[in-house]
Amino acid sequence: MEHLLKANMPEVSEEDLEIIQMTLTESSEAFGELVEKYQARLYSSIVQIFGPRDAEDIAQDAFVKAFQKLDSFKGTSGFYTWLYRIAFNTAVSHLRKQPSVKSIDELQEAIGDNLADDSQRPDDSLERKECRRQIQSSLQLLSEEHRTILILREVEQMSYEVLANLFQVPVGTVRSRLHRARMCLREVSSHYLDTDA
Amino acid sequence: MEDIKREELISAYLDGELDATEAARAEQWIAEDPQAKKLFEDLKFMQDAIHQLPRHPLESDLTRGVLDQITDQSVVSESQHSGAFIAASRFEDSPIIERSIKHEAVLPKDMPESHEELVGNLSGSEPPQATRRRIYLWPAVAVAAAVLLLIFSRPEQREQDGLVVQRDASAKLKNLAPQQGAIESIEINAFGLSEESKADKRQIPNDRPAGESIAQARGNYQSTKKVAPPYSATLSTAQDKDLNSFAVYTFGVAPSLDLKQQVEDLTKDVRRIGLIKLGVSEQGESTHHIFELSGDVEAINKVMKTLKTTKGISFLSRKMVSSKEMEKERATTRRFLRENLDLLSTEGGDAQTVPGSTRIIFVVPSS
Repeated sequence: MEHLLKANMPEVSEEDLEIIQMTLTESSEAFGELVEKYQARLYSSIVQIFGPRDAEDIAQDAFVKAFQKLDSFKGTSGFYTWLYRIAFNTAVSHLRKQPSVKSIDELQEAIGDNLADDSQRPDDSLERKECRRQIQSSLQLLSEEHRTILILREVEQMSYEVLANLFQVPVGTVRSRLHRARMCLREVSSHYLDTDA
Repeated sequence: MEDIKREELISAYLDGELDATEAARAEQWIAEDPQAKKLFEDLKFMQDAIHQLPRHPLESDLTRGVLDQITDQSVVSESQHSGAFIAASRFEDSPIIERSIKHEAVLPKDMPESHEELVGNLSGSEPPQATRRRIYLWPAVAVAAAVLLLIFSRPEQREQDGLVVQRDASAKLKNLAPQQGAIESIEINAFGLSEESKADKRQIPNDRPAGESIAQARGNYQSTKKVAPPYSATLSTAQDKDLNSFAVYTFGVAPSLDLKQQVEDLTKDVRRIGLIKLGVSEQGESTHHIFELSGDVEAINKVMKTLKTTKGISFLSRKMVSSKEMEKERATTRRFLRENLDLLSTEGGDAQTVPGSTRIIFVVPSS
């Protein structure tokens, strides 16, 4: 287990490293701690990007696959980034087998009823709130690639370097892909942006 | 091309991903060019909007399900190598196995009494290191199962009670000696078979009539008021991506809840699934009501989600069982019996689970 030394895994938190070591050397039950720690975040991210359909199953499958591959985890990225890559591939493979057209209900569910947390912005005008809500809805009109990178950047707060690691592309590609995603979102939301923003 | 690069600069500036020189250039451009300023404001507004996307709360804890699946896969993997019973791992430490080898019909004193305990034994805290011992016990378990199948395949017992579903092996429980009943309860658990009790003969929607086999009930999905796909269709609408496995969900049910009514309500508006009751099994301090749900995967998912959020019902676990593996082991056992004992009736039926279907076990504490 030499590769599990913290010095070799600067991106992995001490806590995660400890759990991973315990899982590999002592008991697979220890892996449950990683599930507990990351399940809510992973599930929410899957729903935001791929919609609610089978999100729970996808998240569960991702954890099981992560466990199966745990001994190959090299720690060049954080555990969650690594886990997310597995979840992303699982979701893509899973959804490829499903009809691609999403129902209105699914889109609604993916976006949620209470889109923006309006209470945090009491000074916002109703128009701005509505505009923000429409932009959130417009995310579902983007390609999967664009929606994914935007959400990972804005919601998951992943840096360009982490995203590059996740997608296995150069940092420059992340930068231009994010830019294109933003321009697409701006395009589909132009009506709302022009009126008020 | 130059414009794109400049716009890209603003995007990266928004993310704080520029070095000091590039950031200064971006700031200057935004300050001097109204178009650049508008772009920056738009991007900033969109960024705020995405930041405020709602988080989607996870309604159920995945931890147990993941750990169960991990353990199950370890067990399946081991049995694939050893070519022996998947169920064996559940009872590898139980005295019943060793005693069965000696053909002694002695009740195990520490047999798992509840489903939870049983599941605990299966998924347990035990990592997959115990491989050597499991493999060692496979032949013993095969012999034990052979004895069980011999008992269950006696034709006179099958015909004694016309009300009991004949193809349900466990339906013969009441005709067996106490020791045999106890042994069968192990097999019921091991294979997920079910016991059809007399007291539970009342029909529920999609329940099969008395005297109709489970296989017939499946074939009759089309004729029930809920139009569910026939058996072959369920294969193509399997819930799990592995069509050769089925999910087993276990729910705890408050004794005060009207389970029959709850199950009726659960499926009354869903037309794309079939629900049959496999039976009831007394497990120490609790009663297990076992159902099988087949058909449209989305409809099944909705039912499962509804169950998880129903008051009085608590989600206990979800685990996957490989029906292919189970069937393979059954076949191995039958072949073994035919070759060695030449006594096995091929009609020795049991409740075969439709691949891809979902089994639901409601655990109701005895009042």
